[in-house]
Amino acid sequence: MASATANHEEHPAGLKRWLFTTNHKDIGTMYLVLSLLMFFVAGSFAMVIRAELYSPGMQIVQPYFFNELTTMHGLVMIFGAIMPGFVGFANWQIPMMIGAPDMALPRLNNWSFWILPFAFTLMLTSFFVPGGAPGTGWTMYAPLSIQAGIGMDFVIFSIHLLGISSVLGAINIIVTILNMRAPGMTLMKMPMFVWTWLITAFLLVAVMPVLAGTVTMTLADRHFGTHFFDAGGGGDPVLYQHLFWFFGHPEVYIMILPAFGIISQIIPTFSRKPLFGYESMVYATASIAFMSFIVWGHHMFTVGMPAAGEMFFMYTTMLIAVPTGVKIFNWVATMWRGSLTFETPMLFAVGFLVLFTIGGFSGLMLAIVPADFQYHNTYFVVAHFHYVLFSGAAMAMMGGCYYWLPKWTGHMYNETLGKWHFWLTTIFFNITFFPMHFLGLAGMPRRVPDYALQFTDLNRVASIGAFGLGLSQLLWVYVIYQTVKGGRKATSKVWDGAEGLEWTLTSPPPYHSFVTAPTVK
Amino acid sequence: MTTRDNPGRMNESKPEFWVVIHPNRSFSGRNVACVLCAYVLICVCISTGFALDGAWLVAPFMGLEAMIIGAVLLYVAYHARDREIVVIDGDRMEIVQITGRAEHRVALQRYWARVRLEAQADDWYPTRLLVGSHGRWVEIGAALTDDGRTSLSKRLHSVLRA
Repeated sequence: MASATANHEEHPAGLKRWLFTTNHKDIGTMYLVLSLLMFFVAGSFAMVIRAELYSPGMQIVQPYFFNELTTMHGLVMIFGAIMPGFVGFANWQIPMMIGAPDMALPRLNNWSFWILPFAFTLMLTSFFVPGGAPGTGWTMYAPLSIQAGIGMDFVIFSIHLLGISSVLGAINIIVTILNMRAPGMTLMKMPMFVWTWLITAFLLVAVMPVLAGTVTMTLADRHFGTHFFDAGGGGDPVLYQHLFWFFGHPEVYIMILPAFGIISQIIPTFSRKPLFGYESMVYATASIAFMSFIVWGHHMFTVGMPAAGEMFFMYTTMLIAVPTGVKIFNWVATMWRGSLTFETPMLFAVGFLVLFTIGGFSGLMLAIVPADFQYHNTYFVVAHFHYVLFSGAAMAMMGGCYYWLPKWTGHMYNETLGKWHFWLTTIFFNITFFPMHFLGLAGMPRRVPDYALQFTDLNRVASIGAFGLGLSQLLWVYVIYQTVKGGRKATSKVWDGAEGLEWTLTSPPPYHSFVTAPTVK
Repeated sequence: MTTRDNPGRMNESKPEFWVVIHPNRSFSGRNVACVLCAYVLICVCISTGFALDGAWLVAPFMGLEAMIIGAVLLYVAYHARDREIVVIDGDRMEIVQITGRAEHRVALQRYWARVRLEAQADDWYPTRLLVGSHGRWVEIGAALTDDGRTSLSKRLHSVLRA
């Protein structure tokens, strides 16, 4: 009987491993590394912005370059840091959590990732073309985007590439979750992180074509003589805003729902209790996703829409507070009378809970039409969305990183340094962004490189906070590096309160997660 | 991917050994149809709404994406019942391969049947498990991981030797 043997522990090494890999863990790692890199690229833009705003008047950069930095900070943070970061978590965790050996479409997974470096190269190259990067802000409103230089075309093409990557990634996640769950893993037994990603993936496939169509119309207006958004030719610039925010508001939930999923994994683990109200969490997540399609108008209350429209968008926006409140309540109820311990992931989860709630409340303030007329386009809005996206999305990713890093690397991270990272991040984050509420209420407009003298003190506080916040993230990189390199061996079930299939695998897990599908009872 | 088998001889009415190899599919064709219909309905609503407002360029992107998603989901539905059945009983070995609607059967003489696990240069697909005799080979276990193929190869070896 003839037979040939193969070494099954062997897998491709070197550059080829990363270029051609179809393994969900390798691809997840690449997404996470890219996300971290982009976090620092966009963060460095923020440092220059805050250095310029340290004093009134122009100090460091030219006004147009300031606008370029503002635009790129937003675009790179959203499309480069947050979205790929969560896709990295999804790649690593979803197959392990549902008992699958890998993603459903592994080659597609490889392509989805490798589109990204080219897209960001294109996007960042726009700084170096004549006219520079667009200074339109991440929203790329018409007619400014129609009049911008060639850098705008670079950004439009990079957005197309990013959209293709996101849609392919989302399709892969949908098929994996729906089709590759282990026997017994019914939908209502899936971990919350998997649920939130399933809903996020559906949001992505629903809104990404709208963004693609919108930027294509911008491109056509710029070069092909159409007038979709050009009022001079009978077009409507407000239509651009409707289109953009029809994509943009669900996009906010695309960036926050996976964060909810991570927090829903961390809190029960360190409370040593099952998640309170699992089913209500699932329905709340689905409700938030559905409602995200009918609230986009709250971003454009001041364009002059009819009062009935403003009322509709005001009430629907306020309604979102209900399912979000259900989630906050359930997290607090999970902790209630739990056997709590405060390791670094739990610190980030609790920090998320408090700070995201502040962002939620300022969101409610912005939802009120007459109040929004005062807050619109001020630093109050900047404070609001950083409380949602930094202390929401980014801090959830930091917590998730500390939570699963021992599983991924097989080593425990340095708990003392992790705690230092949490406290420095939380303190400097609040020093940076809390004063911005007052700056906005006092009337300081956003996206300006210069400001009136009365805003100096609070701007200085915010800038000092921002430098501290930026520097403290270097500590995070160091902790990750140290953990990857070595450290105390992690057990399979890293945390004694952790539940789920991923904790039944070794730390680090084998190359193929589940060779035989586990049975879930 | 899962395998089911009956390696013992507990029940004489059943074959001596059989194994059913099928990828783990937790989603039925009916569910695929429901998801696809709901998605297409959403796409039609969004693209019609914007087209009526003059933004007709959303529709081609929606359509393109719907086609890709449709293709992926239909592929999943088409292969929902794919399986390979390997039966060894008495002096016969039979392999039934069901792919979509196609069924392929191969009958072999047990004592002449050979199992071969071939290493390949392809990093994405490092091994192939072949069963055959007299120069006629059939690949099985393509849906399994490398570890799964190795383990199946060992089991087939031992049963064929017995």
